[in-house]
Formats: sequence, C-alpha cells, structure tokens
Amino acid sequence: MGEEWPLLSLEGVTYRHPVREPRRPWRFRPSAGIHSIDLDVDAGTILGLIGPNGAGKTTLMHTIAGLNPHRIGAIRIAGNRRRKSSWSNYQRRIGLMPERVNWSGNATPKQVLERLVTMRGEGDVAELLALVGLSGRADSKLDEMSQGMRQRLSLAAALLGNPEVLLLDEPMNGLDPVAQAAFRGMLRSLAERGVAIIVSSHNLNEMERLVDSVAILYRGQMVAAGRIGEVERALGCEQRLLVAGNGWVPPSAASFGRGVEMRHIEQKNDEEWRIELRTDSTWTPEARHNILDAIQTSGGRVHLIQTISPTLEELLAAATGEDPELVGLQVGGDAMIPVRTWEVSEDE
Amino acid sequence: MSDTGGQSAPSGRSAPSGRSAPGGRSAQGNRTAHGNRSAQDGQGTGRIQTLLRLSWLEAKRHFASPRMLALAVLLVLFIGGGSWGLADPDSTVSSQIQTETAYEVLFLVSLFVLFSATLGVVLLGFDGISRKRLTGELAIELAQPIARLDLAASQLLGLWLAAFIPTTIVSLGGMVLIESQMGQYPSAAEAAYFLTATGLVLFWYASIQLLASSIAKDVGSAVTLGVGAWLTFTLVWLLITAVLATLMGVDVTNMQSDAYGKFSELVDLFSPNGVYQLLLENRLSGDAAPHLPSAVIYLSTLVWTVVPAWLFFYRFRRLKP
Repeated sequence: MGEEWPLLSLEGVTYRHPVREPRRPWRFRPSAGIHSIDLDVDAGTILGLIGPNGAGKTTLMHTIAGLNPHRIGAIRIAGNRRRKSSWSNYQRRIGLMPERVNWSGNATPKQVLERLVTMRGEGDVAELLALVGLSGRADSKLDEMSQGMRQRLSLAAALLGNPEVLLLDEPMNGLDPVAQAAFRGMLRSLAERGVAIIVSSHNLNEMERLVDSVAILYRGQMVAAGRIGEVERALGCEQRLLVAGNGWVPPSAASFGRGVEMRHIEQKNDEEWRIELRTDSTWTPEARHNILDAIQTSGGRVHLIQTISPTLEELLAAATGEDPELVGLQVGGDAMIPVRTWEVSEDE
Repeated sequence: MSDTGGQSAPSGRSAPSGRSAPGGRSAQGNRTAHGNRSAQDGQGTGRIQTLLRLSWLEAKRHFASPRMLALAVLLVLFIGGGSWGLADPDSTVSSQIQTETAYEVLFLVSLFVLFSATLGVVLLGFDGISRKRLTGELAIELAQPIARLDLAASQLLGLWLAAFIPTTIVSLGGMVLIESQMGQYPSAAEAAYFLTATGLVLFWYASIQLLASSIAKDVGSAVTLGVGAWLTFTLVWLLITAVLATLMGVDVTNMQSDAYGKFSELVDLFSPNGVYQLLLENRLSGDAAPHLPSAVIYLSTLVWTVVPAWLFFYRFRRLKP
C-alpha cells in the first residue's frame, strides 16, 4: 500500500517575477522569486513560513493560491494537481488572506463578503462575520473600520467556503494582543477541524506560540523546515537557558545533568553571576528542576531562570553560513544563487 | 519528522516514494467536514448568472459612491440643459446648425454626452483596478474560483451599467424637455438608436478606463492615464486631426470644405467620440450625413467594441496583485 498524499504538496516549485529590461522595456527577464521549493503540509497542521523581508514568503503564498503562474514544479492538493480543467476545484480548496488588506470605500463588510460569496458560489456571510467577531459591524462602512477589523474581514474572506488549505500572510499585523490570542485560538480550532494552515511571519517568537512546524525561507529558497525544536537543534541554535543568581559561581555544567553544556558565564561582581546553558534535548521542567537543585545544594541562590529562543537572524546565519550581523540586512537580488539548505529529519 | 499531539508535521522534503495515485481524493482530501460545493460549477447558465450578479453588485457599489453625485450633476447640467436649450425654437446655435426635428436636437445633445457621461466613466473607473491592487483586495478576488475573464467582464459591465443607467434616465428626461419645447418626441427608433450609440460609446470608454487602470500601479498614474485618455479624445482630437491634415496636405484653412470633412471623418474612425458622432450622423440626411459609407462606420463600431475590451481582458488575465 503506497503512502497517502499530504493535503498540500509542493515539489520543486519555482517562480521568478518577470521584470522589464531597462533598455528594452517590451522585454521581460526573470527576477527574484522562489526556487525549487519542496514542502508537504498535512491536514490539521499549522506551518509557520518564516523569513526576512524579500525572502519570498508572499511569493510562495501567491504561487500556492494560483496567483503566480509557476511553470516549474508541481503543487498538489490531496494529490490533485492544478490543471486548466480543474483549476476551479483547486481554487475552492484554498483560502488566501493577503498581508494588510486596506479595505476602503463606502461598502460594508457584509457587502464585501456577499460579493465574494457570489464569486465562490458558496459561503454563509452571517456565520463568517460571527466567527471573526464582526457581526456588530456588518453594516459599518469600510472607511470607518480599524486595521484590526480589516484584518478580521480579510480572515473572513479567506474562510469563505471552508477551504481545506488556509494561507495567511502576516495575519497578526494590526491586531492587539487580545485579538492575537483569540486569533491563535481560532486557527487552532480550524486546524483541529482538519484545515492545513500556512502562516507567514518574520517574527519567530510569535510563531512559536502558534505553529506545529516552521519552514525558513531565505532569498527565495527553503533553507530548513520541520518542527521548531528540531530545526533549532539541527542548526545548533536550540533554546538556551539563562540562569542568574548569587552566592555561588557554578564551576562547570557537569552537575546539571547529562547533555547540559555551559555556553557563557558572566560574573557581574563578587556575588552575582549569570550563566547560559544549552542542552542536547529540551528544557523540560525536570531538567530545570535539576539545575535549581544543583545550585541550591551547593549554596547558591537563583534569581532568574528563563529560556532564550534563537532569533530568526541566528537561525538564518546558522542555516546559510552567512554573517549574523548582515543576514537580516541583505535582500536577495535578481539572481537565484543557491544557499545551503538543511533537511531536518526525525533522527536529528 | 516526529508526531506530537496526534498531528503529523509538515516538511520540506524530497517527494516521498510510493504515494497512492490521486485517482480520486485521498482520505485527507475529502471534504465531508467542509460544507457542500455548488453544483453549478462550470455550467453556462450558472456562469452567466454569476457574471450578471457580480456586474450588478459592482454597479451598485458605484451607485453608492460619492463620485456618482458628481456624475449626476454633470449629466443633468449638460444633457438636461442641452436638451432644453437646443430644442428652444427661439434659439439659434449657428447658421449651419439646424434643429428642426427632435432627433437633430438629440444629435447635438450628443456633444454634451461626450463631455459629461464619458467624463463620468473616467470618474468612476479610473481607479477601478489600480485601487484594488493597491489595497490588496485584488489578491483576494483573483484567488477566488472564478475565471479571470468573468471577473474582468463583471468589472467592465458593472462600470458600464453605472454610467449608462443614469445617462439613459437623464437622456429620457431630456427627450421630455425636447417635447416640451418643440412639441415632438424623437421616434422610438430614433430614441433607441441614440441610446444604443450612447451605450456603445460609454462601453468603449469603460473598456479604455479599465485597461488604463489595470496598467497603472499607483493612484497618480491611474489619474494620468484615465484623464489623459479622455482629454485626448475629447479635447485634443481636433488638434490631432488638424496636424494630420496639414501633414497629409489637406487644406485646414477651410474646415467646412468637403476635403477636410472627408479627412476628418477618416481620422474620427480612430476616436471613440468620432465614431459615436458618425454613428449618430448616419441617421441624418442631406449635407449632415457622413461621407463615409455606413459599412465602414459599423465596422469601426465593431472594432471599438471588441478591441479595447479584448485588450482589457488580455491584460486582466495576466494581472498580478
């Protein structure tokens, strides 16, 4: 019996934006884009698409949503490839929420959704407005809505027709922390109903609280993908533990347990110190407890113990081998020069 | 890739071997939990209904826009005022222009249509595509399971309806004013002919505006292209005709001459305003009738109806948000 297709599957998908040649504006040449993207997303999974500006997150989402006509590679939903004869069925299974849609005009959210329902041939406007919390503003003018409300309307538009694959481009922009928490809860419940969700962001910390896995894009190429912890470990950028205290300077990490390594030690004065620890597994409550025990048994006192996640720049630098100071500043040029990529497997 | 919480993880990967062939959908792809799909997908009737409904929604959006107020004022002042004034038996426009029948008045009123209704199309449609592109709404619309051709056609029909419906209402009102001044209505055929020609010129302008708007990538260039096209055909065309006539050796010192008249009609075939005027002139008799054969005028009408709309559809199909 063969393996089932994942809900969304990308194989070698390549798309480069055409740009006009400066001296011959009637001609186009390929510019930046995405290159040879392989990705599987199963039903009920939330994938974080992470990368700096210009990494290709939006291009990848638009390509999956059928807005960019890629000619190289294959995109399949449940094994079915987008073809001319079946593009409508393909589009029905995808919902796209573009980045920061600035809904404007005299129309109302209800009218906007009714128009989209007409295009889609399905969908319940009242139900969707209730789902995103806009029932009370259904007849407000778009011009009178805040950015947060506009984001909610964009989400409602993406949810029309109960798509199986949801593409959300920077969905947290403009949402206050309370709305963000509600948004995360809503996405989680959609995932539990079997929807495959891809969320793009340049904020790794924001993603940690939401996604099951991440895919890191850099200059149009996928440099690493997998569960956050696995990616971090594979790149040698796993979460570190910061411990601060006084009274006793730990001489080594040996007493903290197996696999724990002391990365950095800082003596602030005779009494106070800060240490940074890494582990080859994860920082479980038991592991933290062992460290506290070891310090307190030796007569030390701990003021602070917290995990530090690697930043996106650290991950990118580790993945690509580039300078951490520069990796966030450089935006990819037109040439698609291959960068180092990592395949993260279960064993790593 | 490890699984936690019962969820399988996504991966960047090479294609797994031995996947089951997607003859139907895999279990993951079944949509039992996702509502019913419309059965009318791909069926002609459903498609036309969707197109008409979208067009009407687009027109309604324009009707609710403050720009419609500006259009209404323009139409009433130009078409209403023109109908009333030109039909006045005591008024004389010029010795060459005679207004003895209601249709002749309508023909003259067509000049005011060109100044007001076509400007209305510009007002309503100059940012029809570019605004949606700038706000991000276009990406959402293009991601829907509707053919781009249908979406483009709905934009075009919606804009056309938004301009044509009020123009028709004011034109019918103008005919009532003509009757009150001259004591005669244009015949039903004349009225229908006038409204059809007016509908066509508005359709041509709607196509041109949406084409320009789909090319523009910001508000500034949308205004420039939209208003520029209108100015070219409405105000600058006389100058273009005169320059071309000079270059071709046609005497431009006497614009009433037959030679200039024939040349001017030829050049007018390349302007929507010119073809509109020729169409209306075609029902006039005597000296007022055009020199060009009717077949040429009708062919030009067909070209103006098809080409700008086709160019807009072509552009829209390749449009990226």
